[in-house]
Amino acid sequence: MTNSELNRRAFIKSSIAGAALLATPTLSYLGVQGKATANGSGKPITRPLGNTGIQLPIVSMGVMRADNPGLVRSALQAGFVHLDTAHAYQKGKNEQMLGEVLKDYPRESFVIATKIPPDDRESFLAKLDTSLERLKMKYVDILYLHGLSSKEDVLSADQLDTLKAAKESGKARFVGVSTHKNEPEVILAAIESGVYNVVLTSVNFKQDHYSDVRAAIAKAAEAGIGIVAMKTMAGGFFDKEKTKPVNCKAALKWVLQDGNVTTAIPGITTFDMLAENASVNQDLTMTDKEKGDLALGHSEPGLYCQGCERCVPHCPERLPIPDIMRSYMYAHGYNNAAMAQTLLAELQLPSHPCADCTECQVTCAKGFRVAERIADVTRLTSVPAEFLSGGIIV
Amino acid sequence: MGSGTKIIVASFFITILSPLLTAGHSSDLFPAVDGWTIVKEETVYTPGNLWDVIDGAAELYLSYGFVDLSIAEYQKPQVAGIRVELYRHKSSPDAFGIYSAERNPEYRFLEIGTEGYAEEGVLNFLSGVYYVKISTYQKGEAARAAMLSIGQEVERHLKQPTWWPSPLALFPEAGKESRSESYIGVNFLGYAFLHSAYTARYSKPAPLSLFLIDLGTPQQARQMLDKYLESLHQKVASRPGETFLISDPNNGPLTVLLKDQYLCGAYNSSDQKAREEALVELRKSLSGNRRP
Repeated sequence: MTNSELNRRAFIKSSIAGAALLATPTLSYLGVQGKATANGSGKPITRPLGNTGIQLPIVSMGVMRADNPGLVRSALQAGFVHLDTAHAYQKGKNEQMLGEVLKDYPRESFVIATKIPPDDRESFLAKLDTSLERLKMKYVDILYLHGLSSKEDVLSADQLDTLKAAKESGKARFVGVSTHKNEPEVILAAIESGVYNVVLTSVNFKQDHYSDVRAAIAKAAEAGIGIVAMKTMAGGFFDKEKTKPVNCKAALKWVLQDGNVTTAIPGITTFDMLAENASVNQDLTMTDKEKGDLALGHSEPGLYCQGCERCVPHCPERLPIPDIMRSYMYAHGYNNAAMAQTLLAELQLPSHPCADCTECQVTCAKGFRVAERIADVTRLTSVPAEFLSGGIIV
Repeated sequence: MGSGTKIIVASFFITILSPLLTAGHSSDLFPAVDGWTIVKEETVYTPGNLWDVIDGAAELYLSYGFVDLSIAEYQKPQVAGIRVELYRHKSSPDAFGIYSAERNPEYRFLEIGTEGYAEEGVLNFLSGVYYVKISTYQKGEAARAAMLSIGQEVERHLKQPTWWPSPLALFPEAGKESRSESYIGVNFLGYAFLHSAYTARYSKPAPLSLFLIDLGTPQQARQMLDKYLESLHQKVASRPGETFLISDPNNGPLTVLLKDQYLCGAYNSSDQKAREEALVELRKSLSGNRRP
């Protein structure tokens, strides 16, 4: 039995939701744009990168580490075309490694993207020069403004002028923006700008706001902007203890069912991953098992409360449950018990807020075990503050 | 404190606070420095949201047992703030791994923590399980001095050991490139079953790399080698203490040595003789470090 089979068994066994949630609405669109998901020709499935004229295989390579150039060579040999790096990865060693490998390949045989965070014009363009020097190239195919999360930043006149300058200098064929937060806002702003050719965005089956992301992607595609997907594996695990791994291949296929996504850039660090991702390039069809894995995973509640407040009327004590769930996230997600305690103090909760109830009536839209979490985190109200903020902690 | 409260506190330590005890709480991580005001970031970043700070670079940090990131800015009137980022990893080798992944031998190195280096506006150093990154927009000697002063205070405050991971001392010195050592925690050579590898680059007897993996027991070292050979569909009549050749279609030819609890190899060179010579030197070094 392989590790992935073992993981799958452990995952199913430990899932509290079971098969009843297999038909999670979020997954219902599967197949709508999933036509032509297998080409059977041995050639990779390709899609146009917006209006750039570039045609890319649907799976590309996120180059995450600089210590194994053999992986990049093998990827190119396996038909991968697009390689994604960043100016800051390993303080430039990632780009250096790529430069060493790619100098042996015809420049037209690959499409390379790098990313530089917003900066003043002079510094930004100097960083681009440094990146090109490391990459041993005269130009990159895509230059991203790295890690934006607001409309204001995307539409910054200074940044747009700098990107235009990079493009006009011939050092960047196309320009883009990368985002992993407030993605819909960033994508819509990129359309509004009329400057960006490509958007690199987080998109995965675990996103609570996936429908907004997908709608924005559709608008961008209609506007001729190429969409590159990242973080498709949603962190790789469903739980903070890392006992429930995501079926990464299924998660990758799921994102690519949306025909408006040109390609995805999963981080690849082993030859097995490379082979698995290469197989997706040939066949996007999702098996029942893969659909099941994602649906089961989607039922995992995680730590983030969306604050929908649908739970509040269920509670006879009218407890501020969303706020308490937030404090739970501070304690367990951020490891910041003091912050959780501060929030609880602001809420002026008693030590045992559920003491008057024998059975909890609250149902959480995300499946949180609300009573359990309240009992867990409100114990903080009894802990002396000095235990949390000073003194004994080394 | 009543007994009930003591019980609550004790159980709380187990479920919530215990990670903080080994970690240090963000409130306590940043020392006071004369003349500077500390403004701490409320959020302590964990593996789930490290992306919010360093975008895609987070992936590499996560592969090195990243635990959390605490951030503060030291502020002073009329001067640009100095940002201090404390990346805590699960172990010293993990912290060394991420530090070495970003280290470049051409940097200007400093005696701070286990080792550190400075560039314009940047001071980074390794300190036990912490990888400390200090930065400022201000340029010039005053900024450099201020970063160093704050960095030294942080180092003293963290109270971390300053020694290097012990396997690094096993690499022979002759021909080794300065500060070329690294630690690959997972997916060494692109294989999930190869892990916890220390590496070093050599310029002599020919440009090549050596790796060294301490598996704890000879049996475990043998098992790792067997997995490697099995994945390549190769059978090698290897005997402990003798070098032998592995033909890896993904990584090129390697010369490998199984010695005691160590699996070692020479790679990144097509010069078989040089690989063997380098490995013989490593074997000598290992022979002088036999565990009791």
